[in-house]
Amino acid sequence: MNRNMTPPEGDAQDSRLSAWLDGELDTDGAQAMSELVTSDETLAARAQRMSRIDDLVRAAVPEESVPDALVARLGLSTPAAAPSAEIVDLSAVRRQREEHRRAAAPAARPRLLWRIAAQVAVIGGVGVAAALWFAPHGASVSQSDEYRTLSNHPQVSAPAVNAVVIFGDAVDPAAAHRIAGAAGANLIGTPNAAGAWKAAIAPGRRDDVLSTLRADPRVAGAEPIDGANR
Amino acid sequence: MTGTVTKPADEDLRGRIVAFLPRLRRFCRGLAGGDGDRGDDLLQAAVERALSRLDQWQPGTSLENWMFKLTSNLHIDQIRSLRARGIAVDIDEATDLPGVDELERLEFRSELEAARAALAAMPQDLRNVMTAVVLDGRSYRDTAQLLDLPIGTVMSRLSRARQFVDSYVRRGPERMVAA
Repeated sequence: MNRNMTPPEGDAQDSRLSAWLDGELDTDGAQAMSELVTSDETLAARAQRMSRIDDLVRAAVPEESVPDALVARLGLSTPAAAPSAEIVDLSAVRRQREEHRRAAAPAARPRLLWRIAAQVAVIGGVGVAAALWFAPHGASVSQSDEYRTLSNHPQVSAPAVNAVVIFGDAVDPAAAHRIAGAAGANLIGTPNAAGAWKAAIAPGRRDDVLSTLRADPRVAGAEPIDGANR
Repeated sequence: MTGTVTKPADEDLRGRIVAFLPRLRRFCRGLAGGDGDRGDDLLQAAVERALSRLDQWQPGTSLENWMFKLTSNLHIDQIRSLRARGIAVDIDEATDLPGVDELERLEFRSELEAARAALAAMPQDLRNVMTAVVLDGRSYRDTAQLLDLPIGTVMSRLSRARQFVDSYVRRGPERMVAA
């Protein structure tokens, strides 16, 4: 937040606390608010409450995939909108991962890099991780289900998930959406246990969008999860 | 030959719209107070308007931002239209929080149900900001540009929106247990 923000007097502290939660305070303001929250239990409880409210609001209006019927109704059905690959191209994924490793500052982000490497490896390796990602919790995944998840199957509705993105530890979900959205990627659902998000990117722009994301210091990694980049 | 940017084919643009369609759909639902049908109606109207005006989008600028802005403006137009027809819409009561009497009448089975009710009851101006920041994950600056508001107004409205939802959630099951 900039210092020229002038909320109404009575709401000033709540507004600043709200902005602090959103990562919108400048460095000095954020530091001051962090100290206040640390030393003031009431304020800490208030911050926790606000965070809980955000979670409830997001749960009340969840982001969902758009049914094919609705895409058609909107006049947006197009081959370019559908997933483009049947299988994962392991060599392409590894190549990109290695390029990403070289491009990133290894000393600065070692812990983040292993996360994206691990995620891409498991997804690229057998497809099970990706299948589990899409499957309901607790559901068993058959071989055909795994394959269908990564293929251009009619049961897979828009959006076309074609990338995986992992953010730095300090990036919360709201910021993740913001960063991805600014680059042109749409994060789908919620991150998995390892903190990896699945993402949909317009097929024709995927390389550019992934490059933009990789260049962002808040992004630990961004990789394609199909073979379209061969 | 001039240096003009070549416009992508419509098909490519449609593909790009589909890529962010889930976000746009959620944005519409948020603006509609969480009402799925009204949200999808807004989404359809927005996409129709966008497809009919694709020539107005400037290559080199964000198609996504253009679509979200168009959607937000369309929603404002729809509300103004409703008001012109005598249908009450609380677009001007930007900072109203629910009164004590109103809250006393509320009771919810879960916090999620309370949050849904709060979104539906919230003044539109608060809802717009909450939708942009909390649901769509936009920065205050992006939200200010999207909604044509000063950043300070975004900040204060968001805080009020959170208070609004909180006042509803406090009428949920925890209150009944504590009572």
